[in-house]
Amino acid sequence: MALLRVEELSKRFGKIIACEKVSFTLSANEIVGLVGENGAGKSTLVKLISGALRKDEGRILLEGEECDFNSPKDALERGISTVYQDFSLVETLSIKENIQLQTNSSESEIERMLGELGFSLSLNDEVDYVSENSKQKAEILKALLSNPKILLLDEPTHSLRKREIKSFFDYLRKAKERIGVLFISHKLREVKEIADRVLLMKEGRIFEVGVEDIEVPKPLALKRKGKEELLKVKFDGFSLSLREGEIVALINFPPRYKIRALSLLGKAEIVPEDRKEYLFMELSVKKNFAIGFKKIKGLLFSKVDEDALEAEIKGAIREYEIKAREEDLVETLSGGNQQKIMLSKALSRDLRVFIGYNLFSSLDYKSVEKVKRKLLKRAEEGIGIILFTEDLDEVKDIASRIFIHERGEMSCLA
Amino acid sequence: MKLKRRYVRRPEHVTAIYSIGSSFLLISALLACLGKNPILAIYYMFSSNFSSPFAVSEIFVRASPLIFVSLGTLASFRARFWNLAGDAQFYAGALLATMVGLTPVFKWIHPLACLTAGGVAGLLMGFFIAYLKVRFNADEVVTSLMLNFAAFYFLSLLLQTVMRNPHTNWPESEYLLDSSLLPNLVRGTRFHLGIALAFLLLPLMDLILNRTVFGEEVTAIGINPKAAEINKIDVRGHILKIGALGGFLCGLGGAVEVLGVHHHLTATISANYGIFGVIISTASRLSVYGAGALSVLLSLVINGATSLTRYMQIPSFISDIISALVLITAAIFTALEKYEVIVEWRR
Repeated sequence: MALLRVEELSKRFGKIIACEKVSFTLSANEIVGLVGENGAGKSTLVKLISGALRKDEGRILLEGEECDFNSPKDALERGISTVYQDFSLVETLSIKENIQLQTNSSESEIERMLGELGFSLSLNDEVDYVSENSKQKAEILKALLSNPKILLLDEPTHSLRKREIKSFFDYLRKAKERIGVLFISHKLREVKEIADRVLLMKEGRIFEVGVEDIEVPKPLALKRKGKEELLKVKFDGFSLSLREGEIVALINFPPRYKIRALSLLGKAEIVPEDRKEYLFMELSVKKNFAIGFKKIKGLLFSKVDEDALEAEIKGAIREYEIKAREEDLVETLSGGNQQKIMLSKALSRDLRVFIGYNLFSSLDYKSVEKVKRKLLKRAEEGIGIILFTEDLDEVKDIASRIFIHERGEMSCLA
Repeated sequence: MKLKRRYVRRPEHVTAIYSIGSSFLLISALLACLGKNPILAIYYMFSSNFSSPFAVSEIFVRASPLIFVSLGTLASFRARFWNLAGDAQFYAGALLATMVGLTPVFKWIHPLACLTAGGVAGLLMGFFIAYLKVRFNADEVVTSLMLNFAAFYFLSLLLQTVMRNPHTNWPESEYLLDSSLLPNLVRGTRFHLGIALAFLLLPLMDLILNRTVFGEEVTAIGINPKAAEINKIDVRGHILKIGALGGFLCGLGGAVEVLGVHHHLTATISANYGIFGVIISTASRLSVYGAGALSVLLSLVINGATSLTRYMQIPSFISDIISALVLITAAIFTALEKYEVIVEWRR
């Protein structure tokens, strides 16, 4: 008997159909991959199953028994653990306290799980001060320690390092004897590696596809050499000079480097790791683009150049296939579409230096390609680009210089 | 009862209408408990405002300070700069306007000089609170709230001593020179030029806050200061500017009140206008025209409550209770803007 059976599940947000009669099953001893473009409804589906959202129609059967969860707590009690795309940690508590809040695990149990996963994590750090990487690991620990029968993983690897992904996958392969796993990722290579079966979501509907059918995108073979120096940044123990038309990738750099880079705000356009630090969620797409846009000087007050703004938004929506209208509030869009709005806005500005943190998280591979092409185009126009990321594969086809930070040491790949 | 998340926020004017409506329902219940007929009471409250041309003009006389202070408060609140010193700024404006009004100045310029002095006094005070926030990270709720007391007692001190009226010996200033007063526009009433100024401010503030880059950026700071910074908005500069603008409006309101209505300074010149400013800007959900409309509505309530005492022996404090209810219900309905309330009856 299937562990989880979903029948004709539907969910609408106003006029937007997020899930349309979605049916699938998940058995124990199975890892099912779920892929699809941004805004296809993947995260919504996870939230419906985990009790974070209420379904409009359809049934969810757990071991043959119909259930209707009012909250994630209900689902957790029935053995459904979830790692959400957006972290759900209490910022003012330590990592250990966050885990214990949900799982009642003792410190030794947490340590043991850390060992099994092959993660290193300092448990007593307050969440507010740790990197996205640590937060991601904390979320995974929290989910695994609540003794799940079903594990829902929404982009669990996007802030993990390569080595950690490998050990996490090893753990999942061992653990799946007892549990069923739904694994969502935009990194198709990972889905191909870990999933037994793959489901594809498109515009709220679900289809089964073969693992072999997934096409892993081919790398772009374009590289640029830098010319004139644009900027010199002194980090502790390492100074970076950024030249015109150059893309420099910094892999696995600890948070203090990222914070140092934030102080370049006066000279650079910065796209932060957390979308909520860039976008105005309660404002419309149009207003978000309008902030910082070209101004026309009026008699007393300056105004935004409405026509040019209109053209830019239309262009961005077309170019990045953003599923939104300009009057939609950003908070109503999917994570991927929000990411696209942030990137299209930042990359279209008049700028000399661009600094980005984990740009490609929550983007589907088509959009990743588009963003990469745009980065290369802007680099050819003479802009200097610094990319912070956790994943070498993400940037190795576009970067002109790569620096890797590992266990306190730094190495440079030309 | 259940809460269901909405994906499009309920429009803000609906929140205002709900909060006003429910406040009147609640006050009706209270009146009914006291054995008074609520329908009759509310009828008298509103109809007494239209009993004579003078009563009608008084609606606007009362609404004018409410508009000045609520617009000043609202401007700061747009940036989530919680400047609660409406009263202090109002007093400062009234005080400086009085000082200039008692000094002989060339005739035609005199009212303008008084208004400018009052506005600048408020502006400096608003700027001071904003400066403490951006420079020392001082919590503006505390500094501005405390400033209200400081301003009130400082004003009382002056009125008890150096500014005391030598003819009456009351703790109030001398009457201002005639040349400084704002001209009366309708004979037989107290309708003065300052009221027209208050209503002209509505379109002007709508322009500044809603149709300029500065206004949009101020709103953006209020929504997400972190994102505002990374989008290269000058957060500190804008808070200083909006603090000064808000203070200027409140100070101007104080000056207009002295020059147009009272013609001399007393310690009770602000009838809690600072608090009303907070109530109006919160309940109007920071909408400029909404604040204008709500100012008129509350002045109907405040003026009407005085007549209720006469007609039905209901204490005039009822207007304070209604205003307080508007604030409380506005806060509740604002929190519910993102939710649909579903009431299910169990069999």
